[in-house]
Amino acid sequence: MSKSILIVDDEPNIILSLEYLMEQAGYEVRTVNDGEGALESVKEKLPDLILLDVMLPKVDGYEVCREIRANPAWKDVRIIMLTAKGREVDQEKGLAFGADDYITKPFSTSEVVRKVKKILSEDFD
Amino acid sequence: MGNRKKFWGLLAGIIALEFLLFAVIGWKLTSIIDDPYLETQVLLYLGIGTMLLTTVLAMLWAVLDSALVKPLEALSRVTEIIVGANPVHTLELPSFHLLGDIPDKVHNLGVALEKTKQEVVEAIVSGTVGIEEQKVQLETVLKELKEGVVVCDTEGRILLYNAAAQRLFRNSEALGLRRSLYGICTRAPIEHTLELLHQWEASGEKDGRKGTDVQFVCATIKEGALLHSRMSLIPAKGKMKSVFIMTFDDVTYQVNVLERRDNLLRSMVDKLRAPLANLNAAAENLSAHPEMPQERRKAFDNVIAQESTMLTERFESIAKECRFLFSTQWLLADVYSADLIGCVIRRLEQRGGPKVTIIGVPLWLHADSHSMMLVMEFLARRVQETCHTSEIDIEALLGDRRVYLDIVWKGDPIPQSEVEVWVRQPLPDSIGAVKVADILERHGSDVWSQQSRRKGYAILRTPVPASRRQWEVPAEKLPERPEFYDFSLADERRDISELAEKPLSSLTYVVFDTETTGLRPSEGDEVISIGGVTVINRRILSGESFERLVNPMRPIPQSSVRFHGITDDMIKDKPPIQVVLPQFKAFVGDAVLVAHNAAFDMKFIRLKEGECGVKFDNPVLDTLLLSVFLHDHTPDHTLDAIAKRVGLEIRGRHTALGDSLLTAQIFVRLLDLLETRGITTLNEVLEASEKVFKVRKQQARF
Repeated sequence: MSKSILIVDDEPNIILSLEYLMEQAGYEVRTVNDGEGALESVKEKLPDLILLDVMLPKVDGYEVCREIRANPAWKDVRIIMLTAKGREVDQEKGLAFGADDYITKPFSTSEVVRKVKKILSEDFD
Repeated sequence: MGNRKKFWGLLAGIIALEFLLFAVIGWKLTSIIDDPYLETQVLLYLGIGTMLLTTVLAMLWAVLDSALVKPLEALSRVTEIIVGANPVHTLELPSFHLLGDIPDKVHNLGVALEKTKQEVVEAIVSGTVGIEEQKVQLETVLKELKEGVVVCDTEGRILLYNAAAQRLFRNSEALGLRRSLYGICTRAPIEHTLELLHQWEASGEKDGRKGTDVQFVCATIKEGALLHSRMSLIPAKGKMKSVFIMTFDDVTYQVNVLERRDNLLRSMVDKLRAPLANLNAAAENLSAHPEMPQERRKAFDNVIAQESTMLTERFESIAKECRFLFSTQWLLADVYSADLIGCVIRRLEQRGGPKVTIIGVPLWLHADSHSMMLVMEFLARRVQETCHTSEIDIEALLGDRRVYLDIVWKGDPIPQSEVEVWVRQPLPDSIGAVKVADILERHGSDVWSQQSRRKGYAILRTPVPASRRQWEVPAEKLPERPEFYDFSLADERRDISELAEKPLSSLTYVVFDTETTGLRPSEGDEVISIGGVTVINRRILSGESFERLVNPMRPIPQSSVRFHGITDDMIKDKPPIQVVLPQFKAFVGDAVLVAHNAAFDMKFIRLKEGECGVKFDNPVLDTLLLSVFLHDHTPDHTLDAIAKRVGLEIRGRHTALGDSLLTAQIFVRLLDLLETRGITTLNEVLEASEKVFKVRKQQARF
């Protein structure tokens, strides 16, 4: 069974690219465009990985991350944060909230695919 | 001739005249009188009269001499003494004299003279002391000044310079007294400025428009560094020749940063223009001509791919440069976390706010300390309001190249959405009404809330750049003290039944260390420093620490100075152990004492208990023994070795407080390890220590 990925971003243009990219890589893809939607979607069906933008309307990415980490039933979900700020401290902050990795915008598509594959393959270790 | 001689001489003259008068009278009368009997009678009476008058005169003279002339003579001598030597000299005069109140007036004059003299002396002394103090102050100021200062005469010969000048000119050998300033600095701008100042001086124009100093930029001859300079002219006055003062500030760095910023702005426009134009043209073509043949479309797709890669690359390099320039524009300086948090605590105390305790080991930050202090105060208040807690801790923790300033409280983390609202608020009392986020941005920082490592606690974390000082370690690695076994910690232990069964984590500890003149307390070595820090509930309360230098009342052996860095000069004004030990006892109270190689420190303390009138009957734990108990696989139980074993950074060693802080960190980690070994009460840990102690003592004999 193919792994499922939830993409959370409020910019439709980047969702378009990421969705296509992940589908091409053979994953099952869902997309939402705000933090509340992300949590609802996770409740509905647990994805294997979330590509989570930091700056989201209503509930921001950090809060989504923390809520997911606070629920033991969701501990297997992997989270990659997408951040528009390139500072070291932002990466640190993401990890502090329980993200597994982070990608700084702008990014190359190959980098995203590489990181997603790497993290999902670690699950089998 | 003396006055008295003259006075008596006068009498002699008068008597001589008298004799002459009587002789003339006698001679005249005998020539008139023919009767020889009558003549004899007249001569006889004349003779008797002469004698009588002479006697009366002599007596009168004697009285005048003792009552007037002699006292006058004495007064004259006294006046000499008053003028010359002792103004308050008491007059010694006969009880009867005719001088009236003159002697008293002379005496008063003397007293007044003395007072004036003293006032003059005091004025001179205080003046001199003032001048001396001012000189020392001036020297200190000059030494501390970040700006280089050079004073020259008008020919450009250096009369004075400070340490900063020496640093600025990279210890150039050309910088020296009486040497030419033009040997270290480019001549033209200085001469030009000097000329300008002379001209103003001559024309007497010193209004606000021109001012008294000129700013300009010159360069060092040796390295070509750019120096921002200020020059003032001090005109000739009396014997002083005209001199000029120059201050220097190295602006090479600022100039470079400005240049880099200009370059960045230029390159942003230039570098981004081409890929953007190409992308734009390709995209427009593609969307305007959907009928485009496949081959052509592919060419345009290629253009888009290439140009967007290019754009991304260029953006990355610009973003990197931006970050560098951004953080270098603000004046960040090294500040000790304990000082910064200490300021936060004082402000919260003065203005009402949560009670803050400093915990953990202080670290060096690189920050704009005033703004950062305001941020921490602001955050502490928000935590208090939001979490309804009145007691919080602030801890500095070393992260990777960053120091975390953590506000710690009992409860849950704060939702990030709430924290984001805080950072968008204006920061009270800040210069220029900035927002919290602006200050954080200056430090490349952010703030978030998460669970603490301590169970049931949450933290609000603010990462701040760490100062390089953190990693500056003393060059010399010093041998540790030999282990001490001629004194058992258990020997004099008091009844600890009330503490014995309590969990280790609930006790109050004072972790301490002493520095001494040597290793032999029984042979006259003395304590020269005591440092200690309180540990409660696994928190190192670095705000509650004890640090005193002690006068050992004996010289400090030079051989010991390299261990503790304390010299005779530093302790000469410090109190003796009789003052400090009772202070330390008051600090310790009933806490459990903890030290590394505790027998050594306790031996010194025990020897002084009697004469200091205190008794340290507290339970004592030894991190050395605990380490042996926990890690008997290794022979190395020095502080450094244990620190390394339990994953601690070693900093600031070989001061009493520095070692105490390291020992405290070790102790907290060892407590965790003891618990995993099932040792949870004081009684159990003391028993374990005793066992180890006995074995070590036996081993040490062989």
